[in-house]
Amino acid sequence: MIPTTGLLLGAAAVFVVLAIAVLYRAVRGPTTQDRVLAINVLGTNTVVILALLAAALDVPSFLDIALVYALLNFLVAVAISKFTVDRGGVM
Amino acid sequence: MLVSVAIVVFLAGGVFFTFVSAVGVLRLPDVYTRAHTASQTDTLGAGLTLVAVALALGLETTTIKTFLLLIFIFITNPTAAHAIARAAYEEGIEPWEETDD
Amino acid sequence: MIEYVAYALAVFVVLTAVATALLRDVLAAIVLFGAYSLGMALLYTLLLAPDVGLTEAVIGAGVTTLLLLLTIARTVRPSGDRTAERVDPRALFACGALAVVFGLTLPGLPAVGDPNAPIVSYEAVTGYYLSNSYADTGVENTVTAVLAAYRGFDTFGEATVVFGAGVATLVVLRREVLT
Repeated sequence: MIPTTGLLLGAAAVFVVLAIAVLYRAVRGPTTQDRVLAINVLGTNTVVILALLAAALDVPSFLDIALVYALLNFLVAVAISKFTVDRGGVM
Repeated sequence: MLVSVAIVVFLAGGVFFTFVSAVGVLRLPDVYTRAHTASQTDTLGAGLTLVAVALALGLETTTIKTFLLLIFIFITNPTAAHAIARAAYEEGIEPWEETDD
Repeated sequence: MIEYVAYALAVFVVLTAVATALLRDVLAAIVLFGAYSLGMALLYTLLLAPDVGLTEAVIGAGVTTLLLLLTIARTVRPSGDRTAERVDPRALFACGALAVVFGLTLPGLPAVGDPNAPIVSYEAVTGYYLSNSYADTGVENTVTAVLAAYRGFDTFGEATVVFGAGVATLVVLRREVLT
């Protein structure tokens, strides 16, 4: 029997490290769209980490939070994109 | 036993593709190429990992939420990347060309 | 294993917080603040406070980001080419000293899930809620039962305040748009 709990937690740790790496792009930019893109990837990572934690710790209610996150992530990405377009490149 | 092997395979695939997408977001030259890796590789990585999570949770009603999450990410992630790339284009950011550096 | 996830998350949260404070571009700082909220909510969830994590995600990453975006739509970006803000060494020293002082209080806190922590061992209050909240209210989560049932009027007052603030914001924004 393979210890899946440890594997799931390990995968969650790897995902957090990858999130820290992607953070470099969010800080450096250079354009706003680069940052939004990095945050979008970070949000997807967050959703996956939450799902992994739900499976590893056996708390299925974390999946509800993951669902809310997925919705919010999409909302924020689209909101900032529309916002910068509507401002006509001024921002 | 078979389920454990499947979980390991899907997890490894998910971590690999998410790693590829992180490298892509960090190393590719401009926002359009980065949007490309963010929409495709990252979606695949998240999808594979979520399949592994669904297998680990087993046959329960909560597993349906994992599949909802899976479907939702498969729809929204490319859409968000498309919106971001479109915003970049309408703001007049020039695509990268090989002569640039 | 789980503590490594928590440590990595703590590093992530600190990095996003520092980046938010240092970036000169307001829009970039707002975007990074969203990332900070994501990490913070994950940390709350990891420490088994999913309700706080959910609130942090909705308020921090969702509502605050949108409100700040609406705000900077009516202001200007700071000029100049520098990406990072200049740091005043005296201010940095003051902030560092404050952080150290707060950090010194950390050993006084009980460990996470400590059964001998005062809040748990004081049976008269905690024990009552733990043993009776389901029979009284029919809510499975004790924290939710206390917030939404025992302290229902308190929470109702908070919701009224939030609703009033939201309506006031909408009124102000509508006036800005019309004139």
